This record gives sequence, C-alpha cells and structure tokens, in this order.
Amino acid sequence: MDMKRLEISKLMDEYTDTEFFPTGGSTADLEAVKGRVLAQAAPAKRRRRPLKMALLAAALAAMCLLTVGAGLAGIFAISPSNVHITVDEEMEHLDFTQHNDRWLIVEDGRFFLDFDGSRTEITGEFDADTPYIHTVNDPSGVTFHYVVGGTPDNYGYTEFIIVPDHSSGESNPHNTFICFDAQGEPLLDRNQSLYSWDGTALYSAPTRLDGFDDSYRVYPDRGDGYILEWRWYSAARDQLGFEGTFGYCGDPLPSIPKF
Amino acid sequence: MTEEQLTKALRRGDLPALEELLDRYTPYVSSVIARILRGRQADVEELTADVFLAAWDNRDKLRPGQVKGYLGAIARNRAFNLLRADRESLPLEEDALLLEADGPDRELDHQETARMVNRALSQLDKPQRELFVRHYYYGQTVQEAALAMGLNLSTAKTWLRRGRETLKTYLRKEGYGYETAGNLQADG
Repeated sequence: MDMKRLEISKLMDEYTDTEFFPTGGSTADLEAVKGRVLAQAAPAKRRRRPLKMALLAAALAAMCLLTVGAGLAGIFAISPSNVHITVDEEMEHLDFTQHNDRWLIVEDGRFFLDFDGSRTEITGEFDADTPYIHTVNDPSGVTFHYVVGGTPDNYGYTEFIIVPDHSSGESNPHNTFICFDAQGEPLLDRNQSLYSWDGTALYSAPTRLDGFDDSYRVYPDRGDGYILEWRWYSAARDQLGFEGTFGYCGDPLPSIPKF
Repeated sequence: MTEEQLTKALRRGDLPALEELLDRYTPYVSSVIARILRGRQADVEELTADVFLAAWDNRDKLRPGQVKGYLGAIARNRAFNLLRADRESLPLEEDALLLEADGPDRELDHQETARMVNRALSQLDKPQRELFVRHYYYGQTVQEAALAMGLNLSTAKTWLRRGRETLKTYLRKEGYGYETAGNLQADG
C-alpha cells in the first residue's frame, strides 16, 4: 500500500483568509517598500507615451536551455546590438548581458536599423504579415536575427539569438520580444517580464484580450495569462524554422492553436 | 477613496492608486511575511515589495472587498515558498499528514484543494477556525496564537487537533487516502 504525505501548511496555500487578518508583530519600513515598488512600477506610466517604447524581454528563457551540451569550446560573442553572450566550456552556463543599444530607429514614420551608428532604411520592407529579417552570423557560431514587422502605427521588433547546441542537434532561439498595441503601449511578453532599453524592469501589462484585432495570435499561457503574437512575428518564426519552439526552458508548447 | 474606487484606479494603471494601496496594506502584508520568516528581516522588505509588484502586475484581478485577502495570500505563500526553497520550516503542530492510499495516486489540484480546505474549515466554529488559520496559514506558533486569542495551551492544541481531524475527514471522503497511525512531523 502506498503512503501519501500531505502537509497542512501546503494545503493552506490554496486558502485565502477573508475574516481574521491578525495584526501585530514587526512590519517593514513603509517608505522603503514604497520606494522599491514605485521605482519598478513607475515605467508603466511611461507606456502611455505616444512614442513607441522599445522593450527587451529577459534573457532568462535561454539561460536554462543550454544545459546538455558538453565538450565544446566556450563561446563569447557580441551581437550587433551589443548583447554580450558568454557560454562556458561545458555549455552549462549561458550569460546574456544586455547593453541595450537600440537598433531600431523610427523617425517621422521611417524605420532604420542602426548598428554602431550605421543606418539602413527598411521603411516599406515589412507589414502586418511580412517581417523584415536581418541576419548576422558571428564567427563564434552564434547567429543573430533582427526582425521588424507591423505597421507604422502598430509595429514591433525582436532579436533572436541562436546559440548552437550540438549535443541536441538543434538550435535554441533566445529572443527579445517586444510588443505594442495600436497606442504604442507594450502588452504581454511570454516571460511576463519586460525591460526598457535603459534596463529598467517593466512589469507586464495586464492581460487584455478585449479590443485585439486579427493582427494577433493569442495563446493561453500555462499560467493564468495569455501570450500574444503578431502575424508578422509568427511568420518570422516560421521562416526561421522556430515552429513550435518558444524558447521556454526546455519545454516548448506543443499544438498551439492559431486564432 | 473607497476600495471600489481604488481598484478601478489600479486597473487604469494609476500610480497614485498604487501608492494608496501601499499606504493601506504595507503594515499588514509585511507583518504576515515577518511572522513567517521570523528573524529574516532583510527579506521582509524585499518580499513585501514583491507582493505589491505582483498585485500591480495582476491588478485586473483585484476586486473590491477582496484586496486585503488577495494581498495576504500572496504574502503568505511567497514567504512560505521562500522557507521551502531554503529548506526551512516553521514549528507547526503535526503539519505532515501521513495517509495510506491504495489504488492510483490522486493529485490534488488547486481548485480541489481550495474547495476541500474551505469546506473543512467551514465545519469549525469560528474561534477554532481562527486558531487553525493563525497557525497553519499565518504560521503563528501555538503559543502565539493561543495568547492572541486568550486561550490556554491545552485548549488550543485540542482545537487544532479537531481541525486536523476535520481536514482528514474530507481527505478520506474525497478519496485521497486513509488516515494512518502516527505523523511524520512531531509537535514543534
């Protein structure tokens, strides 16, 4: 006969106290807590600016993807957008350091890629369905894909960083994922963690499924939220062969329905 | 500002509303965390801030009349999770239940657990429920909870045992196993 062990305190994780609220005991310094919270929540206010704000998603997903390779030389690469990638010799630790160089410039409705001050105009080379993809192959073996899509009123861009993982025979895309609604407000990314160009953590906008048009694909997340994806973004993933791979930690989401 | 106005303002993303939320509930949230973390004061401030940021991220879920409970639940669970991650535990009275189970193992999902716990606790008189919640939810020691409620220690232990038995009854009724003699964790 099997034995089952249940902890009452664990069962109580699902409980919510609505009647007792015991008081007393030590408390945290209110001003210190406010300082921490408001400093991190404040960027949400900036989302309301009409200027399109570029956001970089956290690199955490990729950090836990490369865990099985062995016997390879370490990798160090710097992306054209100044992301530093370091992979140790055992391919067990991957470090991304985002220096947050802005590589997409939007001026007067015109779009430019900007790497080290060298601009390339890409206006008109993408739309809501068609991504513009700029690929850079680094001698280290790391590949960078810069993707832009959408319309001048509703655009987005993302950077895929592909670090070779020879042991599993497949590449693992890390991407920085940026999404806007028609007002230029950032929405939800798959990590539910957004970062501005200056490195400030922005917390995810709430899930807002109302008002979205068919330029998005909407996936139910494994948690309570949703993942939004633009048609141009989906097309880019397809073109780059990332079908079914989300960059999640070794656990791609299968059979994602298309909306 | 009423709580309805507050939750509406939060849903709009108003930072002054977030500040108001902090003013109102930081003492409560941080006391919940401090009570569980006991002596880890350095973590209390950080975790308290995390609770409010989580609430800010999920502000669409805030409902008038439920804000304090919602924040308390996040605070309580994050503090417990931190202890678990560090392999620490609180001195809870017979926290571990050992049940015999024949047949396939049944996992408790969140909703089932919530339903079962709520049903079990609703069977207790309010003072007994309060004691149970203070101890197993808020992590107060039996002595602390008894003192706060003006109970003597033996009464408190009796009431907690009654609460555990009620919970076990529901576990058995729901097919999660059978009570067995002994418990894995001794009285703290």
